[in-house]
Amino acid sequence: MASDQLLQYLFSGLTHGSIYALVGVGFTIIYAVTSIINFAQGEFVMLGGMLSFFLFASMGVPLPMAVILAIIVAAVVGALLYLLAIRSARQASVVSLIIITIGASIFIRGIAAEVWGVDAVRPPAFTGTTSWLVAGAYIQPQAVWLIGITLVLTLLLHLFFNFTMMGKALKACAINRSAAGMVGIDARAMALTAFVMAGALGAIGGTVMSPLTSITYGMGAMIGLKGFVAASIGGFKSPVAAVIGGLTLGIVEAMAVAIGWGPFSSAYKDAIALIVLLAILLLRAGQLAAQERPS
Amino acid sequence: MLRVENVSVAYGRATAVREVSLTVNDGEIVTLIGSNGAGKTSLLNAVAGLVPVKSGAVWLDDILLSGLSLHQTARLGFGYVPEGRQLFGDMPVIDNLILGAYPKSARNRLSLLGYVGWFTRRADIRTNLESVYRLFPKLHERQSQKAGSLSGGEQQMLAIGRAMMCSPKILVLDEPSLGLAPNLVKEILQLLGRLREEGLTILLIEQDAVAALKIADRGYVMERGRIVLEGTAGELLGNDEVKHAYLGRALT
Repeated sequence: MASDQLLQYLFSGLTHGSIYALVGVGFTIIYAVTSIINFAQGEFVMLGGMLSFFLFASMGVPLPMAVILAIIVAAVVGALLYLLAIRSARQASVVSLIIITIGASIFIRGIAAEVWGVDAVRPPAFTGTTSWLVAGAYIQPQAVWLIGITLVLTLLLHLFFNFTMMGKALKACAINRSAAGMVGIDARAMALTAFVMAGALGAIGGTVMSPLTSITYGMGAMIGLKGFVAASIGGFKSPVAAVIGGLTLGIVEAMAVAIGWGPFSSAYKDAIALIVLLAILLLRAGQLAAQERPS
Repeated sequence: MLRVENVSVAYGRATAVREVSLTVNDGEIVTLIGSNGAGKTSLLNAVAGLVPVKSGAVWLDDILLSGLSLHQTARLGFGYVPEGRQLFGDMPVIDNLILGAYPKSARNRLSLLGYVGWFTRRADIRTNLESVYRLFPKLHERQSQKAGSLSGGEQQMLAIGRAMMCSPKILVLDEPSLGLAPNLVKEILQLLGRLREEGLTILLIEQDAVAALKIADRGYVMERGRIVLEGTAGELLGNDEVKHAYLGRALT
């Protein structure tokens, strides 16, 4: 394969990988702080894309404003998900709480289908759609936005978790919740923070991605799955690990399509995430069992 | 400083603490001694807000502590060094200490939600960090090591250091000697004596009654959920009943 073609696939992998990364970070933050796998994670991406489109196209909100509003609304949805569904069921086991998030995901998807219909929509790109030629491969400005924003957010998250009191407090909740209480950390406020951050991060991904890929009410499920795989590759350990997991998954997908043999043709692209997930589950079964913590 | 008034604690139908009252005055070291299962830790957990108080009241100065949860009492200046230390094992020593200053950030109320503390390299945190490192030079040496990799004695020092990071009104320690070699126990108790001289108020729960009474001003003896004896440290050390029940083994 020519190197320019390879680069083309690499660009495509990084673009998709960025979305998986942002969703994976959401999974990781919520899991770390609350031990809950939030299966409504992909819905935040869908909400971001749908909201930015409808605010812009139907309500005439200027695009930058529509994007910011979409992110804020998704963050509020994250907060509501925690306050209404998770916090009020705090006696429930972690497994029940995970099932609640699956219910919430179906609920959000249903509302979206009712309100916005089932057709795919595509918000306008931030800065035009004329592709740039880089070393023989084409890349859309919107893809650069997506990859760039992901990298900037990764850096910010790294600084947040390592150099701010609140970031350390979130980590502390993940390590030892009762000790966190002893130093004055309110674990429930931290859980709320985690859901808000996850909502905002997912929606940022959705608003930046949907001009590239278009978006439908039902896309959250598949994106959520890919994000889950990204977080799994990262071991649900740190946001940066989830980002690396997401980019890795994106590149593996793109390269598998590039090779193009047998089951790895583009029609089966989505199966790759599942294969990767199975591989992780097999390799890490012992490790995951060891990490199992009492709720 | 700390007043515990007729506090009872129950787990389901089992009562662990029955109408216990005790006081710790400013600048005192008070020790609560008693055998395993006497209800010392249950009482302490209730005072700290870890388990609910069934009846009675706990006051820290003029603030009602009972009914508050753990993170709230911590923010009000209740420095708790729990049994088993409860460190953040996967974090470096320095981060454990920095998190000890969390109540200060929470008190700053820089955000609507009141818990955003911003940056960990603030001047006030650095000052506290330096004074904790003066108390425990070992912690300074090991500041980038993970807390979980420290020895038992160092972990205990870290737990005390972490509680000191928010300049607590009262330091409450649950069995700091547990699992430590005798010379380390001595070192830690001597250190508590030094902290008292600097003006800190301390409530110390111990099974090692002699060691505890040696540094304490006053003591309470707890048995089956009740306070059965109280007095100055000297009185308790000289008391025949105490000698017989708690000091016998240690004195011979």
